[in-house]
Amino acid sequence: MRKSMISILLAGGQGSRLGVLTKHVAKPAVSYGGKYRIIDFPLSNCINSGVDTVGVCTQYQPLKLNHHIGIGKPWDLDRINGGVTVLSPYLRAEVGQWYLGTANAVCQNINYIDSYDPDYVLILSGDHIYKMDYSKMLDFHIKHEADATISVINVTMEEATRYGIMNTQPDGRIYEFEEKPAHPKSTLASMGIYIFSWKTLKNYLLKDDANPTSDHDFGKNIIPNMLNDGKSMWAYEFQGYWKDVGTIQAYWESNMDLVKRNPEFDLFDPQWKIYTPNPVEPAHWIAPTGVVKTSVVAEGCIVKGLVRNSVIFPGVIIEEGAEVVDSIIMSGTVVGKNCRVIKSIIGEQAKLGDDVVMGEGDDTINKDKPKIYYSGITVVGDNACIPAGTTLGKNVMVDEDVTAADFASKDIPSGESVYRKEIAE
Amino acid sequence: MNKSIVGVIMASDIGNTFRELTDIRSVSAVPMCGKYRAIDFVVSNMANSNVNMVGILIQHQFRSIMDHMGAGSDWDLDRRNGGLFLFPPVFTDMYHRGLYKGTAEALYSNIDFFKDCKHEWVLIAKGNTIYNQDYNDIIDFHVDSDADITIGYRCMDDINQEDLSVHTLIETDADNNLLNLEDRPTQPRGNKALTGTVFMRKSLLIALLEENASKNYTDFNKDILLRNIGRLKIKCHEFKGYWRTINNLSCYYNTNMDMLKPEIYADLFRKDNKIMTKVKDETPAKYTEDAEVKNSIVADGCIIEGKVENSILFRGVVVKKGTTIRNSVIMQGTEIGENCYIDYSVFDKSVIMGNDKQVQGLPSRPYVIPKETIIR
Repeated sequence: MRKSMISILLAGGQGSRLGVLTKHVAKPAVSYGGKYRIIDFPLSNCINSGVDTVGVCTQYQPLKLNHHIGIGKPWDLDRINGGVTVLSPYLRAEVGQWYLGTANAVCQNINYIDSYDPDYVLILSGDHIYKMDYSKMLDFHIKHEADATISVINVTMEEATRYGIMNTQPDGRIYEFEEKPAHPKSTLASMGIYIFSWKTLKNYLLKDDANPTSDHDFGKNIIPNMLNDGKSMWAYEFQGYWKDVGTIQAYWESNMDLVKRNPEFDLFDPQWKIYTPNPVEPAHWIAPTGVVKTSVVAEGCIVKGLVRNSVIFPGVIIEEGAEVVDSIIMSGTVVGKNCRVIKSIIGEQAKLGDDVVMGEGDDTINKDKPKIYYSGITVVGDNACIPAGTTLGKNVMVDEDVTAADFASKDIPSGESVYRKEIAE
Repeated sequence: MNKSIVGVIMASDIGNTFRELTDIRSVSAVPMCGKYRAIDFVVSNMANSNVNMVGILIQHQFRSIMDHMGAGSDWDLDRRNGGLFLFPPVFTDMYHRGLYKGTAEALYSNIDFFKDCKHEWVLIAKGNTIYNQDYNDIIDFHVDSDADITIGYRCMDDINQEDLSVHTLIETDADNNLLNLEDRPTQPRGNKALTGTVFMRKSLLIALLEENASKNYTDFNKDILLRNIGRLKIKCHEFKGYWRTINNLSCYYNTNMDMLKPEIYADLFRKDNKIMTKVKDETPAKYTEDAEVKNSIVADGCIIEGKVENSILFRGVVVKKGTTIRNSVIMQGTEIGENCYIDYSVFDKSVIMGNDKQVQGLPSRPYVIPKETIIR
């Protein structure tokens, strides 16, 4: 069945700077905003833009991601023609290999794309929080008779040094691409969202595939090659909220943006709903002792304590006397009586015993992973059990699945980590 | 065994409607407990008990049930084999029968459904009842006691005794045999109320319905159960969990308010068997710094800037600054302006209320604002 435009969503990224949050899930499957996962944003954008055929390339820790996507029902992507297809790396007759780069992931799925015989292919990543109408970008692409259209966002001069920067003529045509330039000539950063005319892209993918020295990456190889050949490449400027939640700090900030009454990025938008599998939970209950201020609380929660400036996912229980402030608490976690949880991120199905205090102390950055846990946020992995009465400082990392036995002491100062002891055979 | 059970849900509303909320919808479609419709409970019970072929008999304002159930996918009842069946009334038959005169007639009108399926057993439940039951209890009881018919009942010791007269009350002997039955008794005897759950062989049901129809009898309780006491082995199985039937406004209001009791909330919603409903894709509820919420149920999509106490807020309710809502049920999509005061009220769906308004009902008689009312 022919489609005018289909999408390939690159969801294989590890997101290593999210530390324990991506230990067992790919970054696109990380929870966000009280009930969503990051990949819900590009998937919902697709269906809201009329793109009903999406191939999702998975690679790193795909279990939760595959389970989340299922047959695409929450996004109305369970279709007879098109819909969502999970594209994992596979073995071929002679050889099989992992996806070697973003371009290689698409190249390995040329057969999938060709089966829809599309005029255009939309390339997305599963790493960003934003709402965007891709159909407008396609109109722009068609109007300019482009070979490639790259969505860009205006960033500050300082941020520009961290992005791929498009240097454009006044009408938007790209004449140069610079990856993380020390001295940026422009502030138009690539958002990793591309529309290609499929015939052109296919040629470049096949040429790139034959080049053993290539990184097989859109930013490093395909786009520069097309520019060198003088292809018609255009920058489509996006205005609005667009966040890479790739670090603990950025992830925390972006979640915290949501608790404002009228945030810049508003999920209360009937015109552009974000879809996700709905948990089977009742409406939440705020007990007579419960207090909730400036927060987002999902269904199935029971709040007997105080919640302020926090994002609470479905099925969380906050017991009496507990205080949760400036924190993100994911699905099914229990916060025991009289706990104090300050500026922390707690994974799914974790259990905090009574009187646990976390997120207070000096600002020592994490000793084992100073590049991940440095911004004062304490992070607890999925299924962790923290014994009653434990005190944890700032920048502490508690591994997934830890039990009381993994805690050497009831006092974990700032910057320390608690790991799961491997069970001796 | 459950694969050979066909489920039937009585949602034809015979004698159960009450003006305030059910002029516009079936009583089985009244919004309940923050995000559900009454019928979600029995449909979920069936699905959770592995009864995967379920017919729903509908009549009064049946579009409300059809909209809600769709293809049944939200209850996992969109199946290749079995699944969900909706039976609207046959208004145009050659006898011009019009509305069903009784529950047995409603079943008999759809007797082909029972005859055509290969199932051996029938499980009947009532659409306007609120409970979370694993029907394997009553099924096992039926088999163990070698009954012809098993009916579920509950001892209503947790309601006002004057409210007993809205129920069908039964009397049993020490061995749980049915002795007597009275619909809506003016002088209630005992407190054993029928839950509406019935289990028997399908062949027996078909025979009883045909016999009943041939004699122009129409009611299930009075004509099939009561007339067959002594002739058939009719056993009564006690359900011990929370159970309510919705057939008047105070019952509707009190059942919603019961959600605020932790043990009842847990009994309905925190068991392994979950109550399912049509999904709405709302974002989690938002509380601002001015929000003061105590002892309330709040669904997704709400934005709360005011004070809410002892109340049930359905999905997408907006409560603006300076407003106080107490002891009230506020249905989906209602927006309440600034500095309002609302006490003992039921707001139907999508009401829009301006600033500085007051609505005061009584505990015994909550004030009802009809659907889509605009109060400027």
